[in-house]
Amino acid sequence: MTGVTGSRIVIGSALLLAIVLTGFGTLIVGMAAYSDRETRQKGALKPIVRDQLFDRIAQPNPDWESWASGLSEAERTVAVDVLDEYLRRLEGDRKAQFIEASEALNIDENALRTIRTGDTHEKLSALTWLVLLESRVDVATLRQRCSGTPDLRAGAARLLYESDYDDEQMVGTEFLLQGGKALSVFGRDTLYRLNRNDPTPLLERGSIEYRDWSPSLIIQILSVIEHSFPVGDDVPLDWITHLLEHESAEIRAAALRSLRPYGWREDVLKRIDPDRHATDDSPIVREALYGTLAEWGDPETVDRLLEMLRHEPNDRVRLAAARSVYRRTDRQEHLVVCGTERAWNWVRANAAVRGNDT
Amino acid sequence: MTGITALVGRSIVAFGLFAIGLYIVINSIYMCIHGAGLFGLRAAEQRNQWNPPYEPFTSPFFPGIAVVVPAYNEADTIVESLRSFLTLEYPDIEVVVVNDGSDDETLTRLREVYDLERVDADIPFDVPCEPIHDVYRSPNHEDLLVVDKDNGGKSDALNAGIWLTDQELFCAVDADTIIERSALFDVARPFLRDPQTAVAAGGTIRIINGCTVEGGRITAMNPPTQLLPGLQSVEYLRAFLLGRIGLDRLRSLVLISGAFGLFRTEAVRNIGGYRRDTVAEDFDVVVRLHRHFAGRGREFRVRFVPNPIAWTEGPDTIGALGRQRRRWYRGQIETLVANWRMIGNPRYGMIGVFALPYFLIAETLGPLVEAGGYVTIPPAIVLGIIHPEFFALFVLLTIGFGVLLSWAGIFGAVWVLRRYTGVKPTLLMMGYGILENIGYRQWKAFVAWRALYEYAIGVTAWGDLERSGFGPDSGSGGVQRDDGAASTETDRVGTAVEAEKPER
Repeated sequence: MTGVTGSRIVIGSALLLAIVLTGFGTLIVGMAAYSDRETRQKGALKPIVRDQLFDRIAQPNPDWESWASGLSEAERTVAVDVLDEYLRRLEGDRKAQFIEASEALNIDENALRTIRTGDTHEKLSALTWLVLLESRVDVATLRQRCSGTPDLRAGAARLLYESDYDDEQMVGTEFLLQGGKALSVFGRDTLYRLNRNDPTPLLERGSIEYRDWSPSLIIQILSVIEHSFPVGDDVPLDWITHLLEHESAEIRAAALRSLRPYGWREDVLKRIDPDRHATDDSPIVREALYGTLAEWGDPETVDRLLEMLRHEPNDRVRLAAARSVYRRTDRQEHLVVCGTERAWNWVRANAAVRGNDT
Repeated sequence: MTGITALVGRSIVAFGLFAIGLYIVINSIYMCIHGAGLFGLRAAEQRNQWNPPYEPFTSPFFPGIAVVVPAYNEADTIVESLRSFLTLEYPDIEVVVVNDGSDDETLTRLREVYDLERVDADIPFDVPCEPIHDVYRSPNHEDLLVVDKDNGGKSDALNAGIWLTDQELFCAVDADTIIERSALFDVARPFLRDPQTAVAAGGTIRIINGCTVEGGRITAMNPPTQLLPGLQSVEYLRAFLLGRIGLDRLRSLVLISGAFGLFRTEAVRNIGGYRRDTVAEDFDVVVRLHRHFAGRGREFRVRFVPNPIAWTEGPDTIGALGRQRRRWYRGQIETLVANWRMIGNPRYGMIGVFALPYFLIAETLGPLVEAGGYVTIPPAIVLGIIHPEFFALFVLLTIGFGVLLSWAGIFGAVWVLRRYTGVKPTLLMMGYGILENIGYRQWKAFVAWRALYEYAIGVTAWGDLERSGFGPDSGSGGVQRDDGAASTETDRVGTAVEAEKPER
């Protein structure tokens, strides 16, 4: 590189760099200015729009149409944010008024249009609005437009649940379990809401399909069953008792926990061998067993549990069992004589300070 | 003499070629990471915007979180910090403060303010940490647990906390960190979206210097006005925001800040908790989680979530900053040495073939070679071995590319975080972005050499830290102060530490 050529290259590079940096810098400053203006504007408008909303709600005839038509573009944006915030918090008549205000802004119509034409993120947002507005959308549309991803299917199932669709439980559960893969917490919560009062369809589906489900999904469904109300003795639970033999310790433990509402069913009691599970290699299985036995709570079962605890080698499992016994039975004093004194003292001392549960 | 001069000349040219080659490799990697980060920003923004329509506070499936706060001589800040932790928005939360053998009034302050009562029983299981004296609970704050133990360092204190909680997840935080109120919800998103595979998630770390803190909350957000915290604030945006988004997108996230990270409790217990013989416990624990899960062929994810922010004090003196950076560098070497079998090993996926080699080449070797260049090139120019124009071009490109990366971090913050976005603060940050590459970066290269020397002679101490606190009496808005001593490495193990090392 000769001196003159080198200098030219350096100067040329410096100029190019200056141009690139100036362009990028201008973009950043421009975005910052725009973002700042938008933030300030929203901050200033939010209390005004919120007050307008509450003033109108207090009136016998809020006339939402005239309110909506009088809003500027910026005010509409803020109003949508405010409605989103309150629709999530409110229930009953007050929520119904906010739904009317939302409909005056055509949020529902826009959302319905979006679930037909939008991309995945837009559809998720649209489904969220339809859930908040408790809108009804026909199942065929949801099947066709909102079944591409687990999140979309969960959103569609939630919409069926919130809008009291006639066959919400069957169709919503079908949406959620499509694909057989693990659910998000939102999806699992939706599955729970759909089935908690009567998990019969879920249990019947499980008896047919459980082999097609991923281990993660099996665990999630078992946890939904654990938290749901129990159903009658004609509903199949044998597939769950089969899972007590599964190679995965997590599934064995989840299966044991899912039977907690069913301690009264003879077929369940016959199929569970507590002594065998009490010697399971996995501490999470033994912990699940002790919790289940404590939940069942009848004197004979608790006696068995206390006897098992004499041989339990894991300190943390003993502590978990002591907590379960403390919460679920009136046999706490017996813990002292079955080798769990330290665990029992710890549970009791913590409860003494907190003045309540452990 | 001519022969020696020729040999020196050839050596310098060889070193120069090596340095240029390394420079090209390192900057190509940075371009990949930050390019991926810029693409990832949009996806992260979209993910953040979706708030599923359900009620977390009534869902039985929301994972509980223990916020574990190691505290060593934090009497000035602990009450204020704890107030902020106890008001975090989350359905099921427990705050576990571990007093790590403090010499000051940390425990006394906690006992007074929260009416702590001792749990009158022995802990019924073994906890892998220094002896625990007492465990306290508050009758007024059911979610508060305070552990008083012998000094054992930050890792030791974290282990005490994660063994004593029953929560499914734990969030490791520094006692001097302010976490935004909704940050736990946001950082938990990966665990909510993929509950069966998420094992760790980290949020963004930002410098609190310049902000106003009242009642454990930030009431005014401003960029630092002092030079050193200002430089760090841009450095954090580049490394802790854009760099992390990029690494996340490349499935190469191997470092989650010790100041704010969420982990699956059982997973960390299963790998034996935090290692106590390292000064980079945050880096080490994530690498070992990768080793544990990938080594067993288990499906798992370590994620970065940009929107939740933890604010932490940045050192405002060159001495304190130097000690911090030397410790980070030593910790980085320790972690790479301890896990050297993973480096380049495809069994560990992108972590083995990309992330760890990147840390080795760019973050460990890079600064050493850079400093070597600063020492050798000026005499080489004088001796006529290197053309001044060539050197000028090299410096220009280095600084220009560095400024672009720094500004890319600011761009990400303006686009996604939107905490302070006005023109004036942005211009100030962009100014820091330029200065970060003129002087500060070169200084850090020489710090790396000193840290390497310390590592070689076996220095393992953390160094003393002094907090100024967040309250109105804290002077400059909560700035960590140097203690002024030339040699501040101590025998006691510091628990209160700053955020982890940012990548270049």
